[in-house]
Amino acid sequence: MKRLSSRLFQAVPKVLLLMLLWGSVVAEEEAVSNSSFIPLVEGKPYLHVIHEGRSVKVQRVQDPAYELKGYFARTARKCPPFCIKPISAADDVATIAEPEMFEFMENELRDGLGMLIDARTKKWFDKGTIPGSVNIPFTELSKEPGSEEMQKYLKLFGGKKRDAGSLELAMEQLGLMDGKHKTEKWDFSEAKTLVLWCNGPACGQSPRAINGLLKAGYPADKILYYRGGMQMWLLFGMNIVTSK
Amino acid sequence: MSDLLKTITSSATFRRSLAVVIVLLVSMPVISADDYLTEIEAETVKLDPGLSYEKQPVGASSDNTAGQVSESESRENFEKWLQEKYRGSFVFYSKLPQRSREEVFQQYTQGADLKVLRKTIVDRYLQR
Repeated sequence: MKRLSSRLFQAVPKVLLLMLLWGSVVAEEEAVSNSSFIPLVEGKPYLHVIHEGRSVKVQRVQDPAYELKGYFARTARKCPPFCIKPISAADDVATIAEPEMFEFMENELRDGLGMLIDARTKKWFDKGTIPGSVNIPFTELSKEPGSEEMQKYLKLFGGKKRDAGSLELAMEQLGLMDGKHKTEKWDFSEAKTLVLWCNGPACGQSPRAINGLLKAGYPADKILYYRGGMQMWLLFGMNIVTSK
Repeated sequence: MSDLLKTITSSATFRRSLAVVIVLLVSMPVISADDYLTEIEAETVKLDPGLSYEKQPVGASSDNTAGQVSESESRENFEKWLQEKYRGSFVFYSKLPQRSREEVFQQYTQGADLKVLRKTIVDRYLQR
């Protein structure tokens, strides 16, 4: 009896703590649903990403009267080179919109299974970027597949160099061995999912980077193209960050 | 046949047409990779006047603004994030002594993923 009451006594703080935690979750959810808070998407008020070692909260401008001004509010630019680009950057490379970006940021990016790449030149990047992005300009990702720079990037993305023999390659081609995500020189089976973006639908920088990666053998199904880019990101009132 | 070709190529009309074609080809707006780079780099100059939006601080502000991340983003934000997203881990984290919390935060700032953070949190919790 004594033991039972002692156990009960020990369990009380834990139960209270759980109730407190549950209460705070409910309170937070109610606060968000009852207010006029403008979420990223329905059910997701904001999210956090790591940017250069710091946690950054991604959210939308809450002022419904807010209007985008400045460079990214412009409707037209000289064409070429700033012509409206097709929805697809390359065959078999999926194009994503903002909700998929948020999912990516909260999952693959957070878990280290993906990389968010700002494929614009450094001058653009320095003016502000989407939180969680790293700057790898398209000029770098358009280098020759065999070049030292490209090899460095492929390794950074999780590609592993391989020296497959002709028998192994033949077996992979015949489907007798797993050849998915493998080329003659690279094994991309553990490579990261990459999301590439640039200034928006009239920007050619990320499509060029994507095509450079494909040329180097990077698997198309591990590349995603965020066509909306900086322009749509800002149009929806999401915040950006600048480098240290 | 070769005489006919000779007559055509030596005619003034042909030469004039050839010259026009060459001039047209040269003046066509062909954008090389270098030109493209020059053009996009030049475009960044136009970006400056429109940066008022981005200059609004977000980190230290209310939820009504957006823009650059504040330098004050720190352990407080990390803890808030952990509490919001990974409540279970946060419960253990909140029971750790300050030095262990600092260690977890340092790992976080160095870009460690959640698996690593969780392991450290649990290890330190068990070593208390």
